[in-house]
Amino acid sequence: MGRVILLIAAMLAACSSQVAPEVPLPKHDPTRLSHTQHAQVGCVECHTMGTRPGSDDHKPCDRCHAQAFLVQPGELCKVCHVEVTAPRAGEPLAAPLRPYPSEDIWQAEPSLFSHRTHMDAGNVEGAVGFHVSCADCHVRDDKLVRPDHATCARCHAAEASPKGLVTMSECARCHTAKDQLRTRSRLIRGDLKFDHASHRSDRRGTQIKCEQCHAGSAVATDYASHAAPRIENCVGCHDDSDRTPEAARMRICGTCHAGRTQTLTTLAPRNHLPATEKPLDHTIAFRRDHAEAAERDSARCATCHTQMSGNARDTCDECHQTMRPADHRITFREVDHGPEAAADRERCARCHVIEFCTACHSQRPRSHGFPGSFAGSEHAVLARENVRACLTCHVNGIANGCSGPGCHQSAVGAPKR
Amino acid sequence: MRLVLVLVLALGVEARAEDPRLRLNHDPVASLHMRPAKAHKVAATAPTTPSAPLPAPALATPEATPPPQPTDEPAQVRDLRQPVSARVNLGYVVDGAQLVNQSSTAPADQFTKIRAYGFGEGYLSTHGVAFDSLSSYFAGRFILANQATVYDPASMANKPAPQPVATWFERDLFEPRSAWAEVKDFVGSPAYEPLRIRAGEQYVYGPWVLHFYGANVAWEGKLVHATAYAGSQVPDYTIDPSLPQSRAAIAGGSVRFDLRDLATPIPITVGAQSVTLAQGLNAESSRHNQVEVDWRPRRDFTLIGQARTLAGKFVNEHLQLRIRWHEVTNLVIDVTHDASTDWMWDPTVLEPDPVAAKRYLDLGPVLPQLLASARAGTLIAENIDVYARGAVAADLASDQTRDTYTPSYVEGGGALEVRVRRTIAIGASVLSRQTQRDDQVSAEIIDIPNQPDPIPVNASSQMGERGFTEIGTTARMSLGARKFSFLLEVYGRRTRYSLDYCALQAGASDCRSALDTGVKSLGYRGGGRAQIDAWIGNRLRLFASYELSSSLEFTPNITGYKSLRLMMEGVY
Repeated sequence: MGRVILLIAAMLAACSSQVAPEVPLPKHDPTRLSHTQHAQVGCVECHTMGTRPGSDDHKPCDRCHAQAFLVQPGELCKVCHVEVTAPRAGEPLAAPLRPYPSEDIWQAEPSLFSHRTHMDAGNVEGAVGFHVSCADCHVRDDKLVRPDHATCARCHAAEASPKGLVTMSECARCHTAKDQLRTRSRLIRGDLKFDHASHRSDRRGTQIKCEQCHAGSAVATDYASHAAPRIENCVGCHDDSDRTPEAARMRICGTCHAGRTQTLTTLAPRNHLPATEKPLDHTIAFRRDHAEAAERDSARCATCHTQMSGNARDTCDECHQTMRPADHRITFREVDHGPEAAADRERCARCHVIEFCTACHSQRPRSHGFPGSFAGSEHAVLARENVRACLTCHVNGIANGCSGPGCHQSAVGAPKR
Repeated sequence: MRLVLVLVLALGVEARAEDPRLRLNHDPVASLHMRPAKAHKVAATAPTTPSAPLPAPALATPEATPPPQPTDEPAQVRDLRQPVSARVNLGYVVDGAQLVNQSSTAPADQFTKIRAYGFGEGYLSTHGVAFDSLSSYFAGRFILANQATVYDPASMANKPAPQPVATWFERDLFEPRSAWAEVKDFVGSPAYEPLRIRAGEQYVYGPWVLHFYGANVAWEGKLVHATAYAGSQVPDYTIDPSLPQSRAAIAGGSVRFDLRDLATPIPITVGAQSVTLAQGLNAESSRHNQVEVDWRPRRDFTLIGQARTLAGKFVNEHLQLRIRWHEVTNLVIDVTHDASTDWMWDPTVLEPDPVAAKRYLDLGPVLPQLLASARAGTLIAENIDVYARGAVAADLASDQTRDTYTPSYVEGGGALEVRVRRTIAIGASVLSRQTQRDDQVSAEIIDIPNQPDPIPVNASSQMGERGFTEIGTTARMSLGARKFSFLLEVYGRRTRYSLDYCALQAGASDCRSALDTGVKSLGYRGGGRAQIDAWIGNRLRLFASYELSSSLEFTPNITGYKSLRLMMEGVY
């Protein structure tokens, strides 16, 4: 019993989370520079276009940290350098730089940047006389890249920017003056592999537009709301033989996963299924208890389940006229409905009125045949096994027609009509 | 000194509040230049020209024709608000059963071995046809079934022959289920927009489903939702024209206050309903009232309390807790108390009536019952669908009034469905219910061979099934909703029955043994079904179902239950 409980607990603990964060909350690296601690310093006092802060003999860091550069290498040096060793005779100073943390999620992202503003063709054309496309910022040398300051400066440089447009000197129009947790979520992570170059056109040669996968990008009003593509976006093409080669279909795990191969028992997540598959929440439990969901959002039901009246008030009747409960099998009609009705009669009354019951119960049971054989002796075997079935229709007591010799004497089963 | 300290602090606060200096004090690099405005204008008027710098052609060149989008999205099946919608299905059913080990004295045509009938269902709805505010809806069905007859030697006349598998009809019929017209937003003032009037044959959902001819006036505001209706109950499922068709007149109404729509929202909905049924040939007059409180502090947490009265007495109380977590994990707990003064099978039946049409369904008086159930389910790793349920029912009747139809029982069950391939899912289920039966040796009847035995006391709590266990398995293949799906199901059931008849053997102290007389107290049976559901485009559906069952415990001479159902459905 204990193992069963443990197993159930483990299974529940493994429940999939639909809102789990894409990236766990990271820790600050105390050895790196904190923008929050430097919020009193103007951005451009350190960041000048084209140069890395500190590259000019530690300028401008030495304005405040000059003493640290005059003594033996210490902890401060490790902010930028892997290590600093004392110079030896005839050898240059060994102070290799730490790699730039391009994936540091605490880096100063342009958290106020709005894709919506930049993708609004009318607005941008009105301001600068042309509109921009995704590739204008995200393609360089025929490769997809993340835009950098140089990309922005093409339009926002002070000498080129029309009056009223944000200029490169207005850092705060894109960046906030403190460390921002980069909330940009990624679809391609773990063992997933993806190549933009092979997704420029489909099997038929039809170009794949950026927004087919990055559907939410064009309307993202800030950097945080720039959502990653969803796996459901992949399914539309990768389940279409006209658009995707057989070897790259969704059922081939290795198409995207470097560490997985398809086997007979491979369980693909439900979001890898075509959009026409039933929704994730349509579980066995939902099939049993969906009344509240249907009442709350009947329009969602109508997406798949035909509702001819177009009226939420009639949803139950429209569906359940033709969709019977799963347990209403052929034997349910014959015998199983009786114990079910006795156990929970309100369940029956949700759909049926009493006339539905009596319509059948007014018919002669096929086991009875006609007067003679069944009334004579054949009923005895059945009656002894389940005499309750007799009493549902037959009166208990002596009645006409069955009190003669050979019939029941102490109590007689006569039909009630 | 303190003054100096205050000033220093004030200056410090002022300094912190000041925005950081982010202005550029020198010119940015001059190596980057904006494109000439002239070129930009050309680009704007010639969309096929890249707006520079030149990216990869496939990404930069705007598409002349958008890529085709998937056309099989369910949302594209039909516009719910289109002026005219229709759905028609036509079907054909063949039911069959076999007779084995037939007695030599039994008539040859004891029942119909094969029975075929056709059926059809039609739905038509209109929105804004003739008048913008007018909607209408019709739903009905017909059945084409020859009434099989067999010669009854006793009466020397033909009589309806029993059917191979139970169905509620035995001849042709046409049955309209809904036929109503509705006007909404017809006053022309936004203040009356929530007003709706519907007339015709319709359903009202309340404590039960009420089917009636009449009118229904509703006010569907955000804060207040109220209805009032009156009419005559529809005579459903009346197969025998000789039976009385007159039904009770009904009148009722409901009001619901959704306090979540107050200026200061309170997560509570309070509602009340009342239905009065007048005396009818097949219905007793009665008045039913129900109050309901729905507390939903969070979207996925709901506590509902209901209480229903009949003739001024509380007859049914229901408490339900619903919890949902992450959309796929659900927990529902129900507790229901039913009093002996409640209705029997539906609100029109209050007492056993020995002369009414329900004479063949006399299941005795209502007994008080307490029913508690819990059911929960979740989806693990988006593939493993798990469901478990349990229920306990307590028969609250006294020993003197206890009968066979409302026994105490304990029930447990569960189901599991695992998708082993993208389109294939395997499932298993189990359900077991163990029923408490009075086990009184004195109530058992001594079976004297070759002699008619007495019939037990009517509705004795000793009679009936002691419990059953059913296991089943399913295999399901689906290529997507409204595309193609196939279901195969196999199940088996074991039922234990109480033993009412036995022969006391010499020297035995009791006779609770089926071995004594050969009366079976265990029943085994199994069955299965296969279903195919296929869509041709978005408008035409084909459905086929074939179902089988082995013989039932109480009719061992009838076997080979089977039913084939074919259906074609068109949606416009």
